[in-house]
Amino acid sequence: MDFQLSEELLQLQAEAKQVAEELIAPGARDRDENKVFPHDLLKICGDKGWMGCLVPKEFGGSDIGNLGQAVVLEEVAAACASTHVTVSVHNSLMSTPMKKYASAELQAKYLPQVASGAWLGAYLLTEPGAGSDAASLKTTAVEDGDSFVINGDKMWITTGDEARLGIVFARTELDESIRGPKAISAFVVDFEESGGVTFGKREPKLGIRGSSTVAVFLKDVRVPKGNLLGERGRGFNIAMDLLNGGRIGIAIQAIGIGRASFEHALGLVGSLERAGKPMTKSQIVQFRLADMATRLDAARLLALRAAVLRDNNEPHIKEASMAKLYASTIANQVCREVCELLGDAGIRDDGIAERLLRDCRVSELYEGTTEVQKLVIAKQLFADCEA
Amino acid sequence: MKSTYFYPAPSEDQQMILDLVVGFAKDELTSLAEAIDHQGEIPQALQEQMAEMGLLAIPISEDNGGAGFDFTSYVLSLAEIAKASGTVAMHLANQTTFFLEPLAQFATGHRAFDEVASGGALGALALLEDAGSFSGEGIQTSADGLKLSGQKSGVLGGEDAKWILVGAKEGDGISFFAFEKDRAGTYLSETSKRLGFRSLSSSTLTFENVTLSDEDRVGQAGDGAAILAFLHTRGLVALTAIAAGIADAAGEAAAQYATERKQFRRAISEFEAIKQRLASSVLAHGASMSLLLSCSRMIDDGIPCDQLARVAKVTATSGALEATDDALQVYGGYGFSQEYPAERFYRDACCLGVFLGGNDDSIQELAMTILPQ
Repeated sequence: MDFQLSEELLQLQAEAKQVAEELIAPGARDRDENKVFPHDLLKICGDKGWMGCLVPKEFGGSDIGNLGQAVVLEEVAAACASTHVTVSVHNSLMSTPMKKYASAELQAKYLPQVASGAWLGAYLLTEPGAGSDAASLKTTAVEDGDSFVINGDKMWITTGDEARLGIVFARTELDESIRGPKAISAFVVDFEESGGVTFGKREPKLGIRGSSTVAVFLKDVRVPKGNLLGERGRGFNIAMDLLNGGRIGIAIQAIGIGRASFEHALGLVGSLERAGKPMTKSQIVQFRLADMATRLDAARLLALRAAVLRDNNEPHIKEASMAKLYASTIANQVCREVCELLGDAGIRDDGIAERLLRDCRVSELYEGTTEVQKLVIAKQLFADCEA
Repeated sequence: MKSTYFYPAPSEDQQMILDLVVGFAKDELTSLAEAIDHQGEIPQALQEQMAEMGLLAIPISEDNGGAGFDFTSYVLSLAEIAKASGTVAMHLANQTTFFLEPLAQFATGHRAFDEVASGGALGALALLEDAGSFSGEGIQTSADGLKLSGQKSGVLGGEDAKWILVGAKEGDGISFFAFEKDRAGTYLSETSKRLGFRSLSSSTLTFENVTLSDEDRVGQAGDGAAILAFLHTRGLVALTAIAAGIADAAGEAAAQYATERKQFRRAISEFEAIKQRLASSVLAHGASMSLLLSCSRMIDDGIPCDQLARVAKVTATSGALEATDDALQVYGGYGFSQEYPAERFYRDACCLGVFLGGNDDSIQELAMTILPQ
C-alpha cells in the first residue's frame, strides 16, 4: 500500500490545479448560465495532454494512465463540471476503445486526432428504450458488401453534436435466436465520412449546462467493415469494460464537484456569523465540515484504488462501481449540506454552491445509475462467494 | 389507492375552500407550473385571479378584510397548491403568513393591508441579517428615534414587493414597521433568483436613516418578540404544508413514470429498489400531513404549538428533500432533464431547509425542550 503520489504525478496535479483555477474556473458560471460549450478550454486540455491521458505517446497522447487521469481531472471537475464531463467521456469512452480495440489502421488514422482533442468523441450506447437495460438496445448494423449499415436512435449522448467520432453499439445478429448481449457489436463511426448522422436539440438540463447532451439519429450510416471494434458479438463486453473506466471518471467528477463545494464553504465560514456567533465556533458547522472532508477523502481513496487496479490490468469491476456509487452519493450530500449551511447565500443564483448542487446530481444518473452500481457490486459479491 | 390523512373529516367550510383550491390547482396551475418556474415569475393574470379567489388572505377573518377561513383550511390549501407549483404556494405563504397575518393580528387597519390583500401590491418580510437565523439576537438594524438604519438579506420576494415589513431594534426590544419600499433611504442593494422557488427573488435591502412614523407600526414599540414568535410558528407550519405538497407531487409523478417506463421487459415499478424510492414520498407526505393537521388545529384552537411546529417543519422539509431526490432518481436520465418535473421538485425541496432559520436552528431549539430547566 502506497498512499503517496509519485513526484511526477504531484507535478501534474499542481499544474492541473493552476490551469483549472486560472483558466477553467473563471468562466464556469457563464458557461452554466448561457449553456456555452467549452471549445477553448478543450483546446487547452488538448495542449496539456489531458484529452489523451490513456493514449500512447507515439500517437501524441500523454499516457499518464488511469491514475494520472484521475489526479489531473479532479482539478478540472473542481473548476467546471461541464468541461470535466466532456474531457472525461472523451478519454474513457473514446480514446480507450481506440487504443484497446481498434485495428492498427484505425489507430493510425484517428488516435492522433483523438489524443490532441482536435476530434472529439462520443459514446453511443443508450437509447430511448434502453437505459439501465442497455442490452435491450434496438439499433441495428447490417452487413452490406464491405460495409455495415447502421440504423437507430441514441439518447443522452454526451458531446454528440460536437463530436467527430462516435463509438456506436448496435445489434449485428438480427436472428431472434441470438438475443441480448451476444448480438451486439461496437463500431467506430466517423460522423463526417459516414453520412446519415443527425442530432436532436440539446437537452435542457438541471446542471452541467455547458456540456452538450443530445439525441443522435443514425439513418443508413455506412461504415467500413474495418471499423468494427474487437470481435463481432463482443460489443456489449466492450461497452461494459469502457464503463468500468468511465465510472472511475464520474467518481472523480463527483469528488471534484463535492470538493469545490466543501472548499467554498470552508473559505466562507470564517467570515460568517449566525445569531451573533462566528460560524467557526459552532459545533454544527465544525462537525458538518469534518464529515464532508472525511467522506470526500474516503471517496477519493476508493476512486484511486480502482484507477490503480485498472492501470495494472487487475479485476476492478466491483471497485469501479463502488467508487462511483460512494463518490456520487456523498458528493451530492456535501453539495446539499453546503447550501443548507450557508443559508440563503447557499441557494442564491449568484453564488457557486447552487450550481455545484445542480451539476452534481447527474453523477448518480449517468454511466450507470446508483441502482445499476449496486446491481453490479452485488453480482460481483455473489460471484466472489462462489469462486 | 392512497388513503386520506384527514381525520376527522373536514368541516363544510374547509371542504368548500379545499374543493375550490384543488380544482384551481389541477385545472389551471399544474399546466402553468413549468413556465412559472422557467420564467421565474407568476403571470399578472394569475396573481389577479388568485386575489379574486381570496387566496391571499384565506385565514384572516372577514372583519379584518380576509376570506374568513380557519388556519387549517389555509395550510391544506397551501399543500394542494404546492403540489402543482411550489413557488406559487410560497408566494401565497409570503403574502399571507409573512405579511398580511401579522398586520391583521397586530395592526388592524394598517394602510398596507387592503392593497396587499386585494392583490393590488405585494408585501415582503425583511427580517434576517446574517447567515439566516430566525431570532431577535441577530437583528442589528436600528429604529431608534424612528430612524431606520441597517441591512436585511434573503428577503423573499423583496424585488417585486411594494410594501415591506421590517423588524428592527428599538431601545431594548424589537419593533416592527410596514412601509413602502420606495421611501427615501431604502435601497434594493442586491437581488437574485434562487435554486428553487424561482418566482421569488432573494433580495438585500439597505436602510439609510429612513424616516418612520407611528402609522407604520405593526404592534406597539417593543412588541417584536411576540410578533417574531407569531411569524415563526405560523411560518413553520406553512413551510410544512408546502413541503408536504412537493413531496406528494414528486412521488405521484415518479410513480406514474415508473408504471410507464419499461426496462428488463417489465415496468420498473415492479422492482423492489424502485418501490423503496417511491415509498419515501409516501412516508414524507404521511408524516408531514399528520403533523400539519395537528399543528393547524392547535393554532385554530388557540393552543401554543411552537414546539410541534418545529418538529413538523424539520420532519417535512427533510422528508421532502429525500422524497424529491428519490423521485428524481426513479426517472433516471429523464430526471436530469428540465422537460420533466422531477428536477423542479428537487430544486424547490433543496431550498426548504434553509428558510426560517434552517433546520439546524430548529433542532437546537428542540433539544432545549427536554433539558431540565
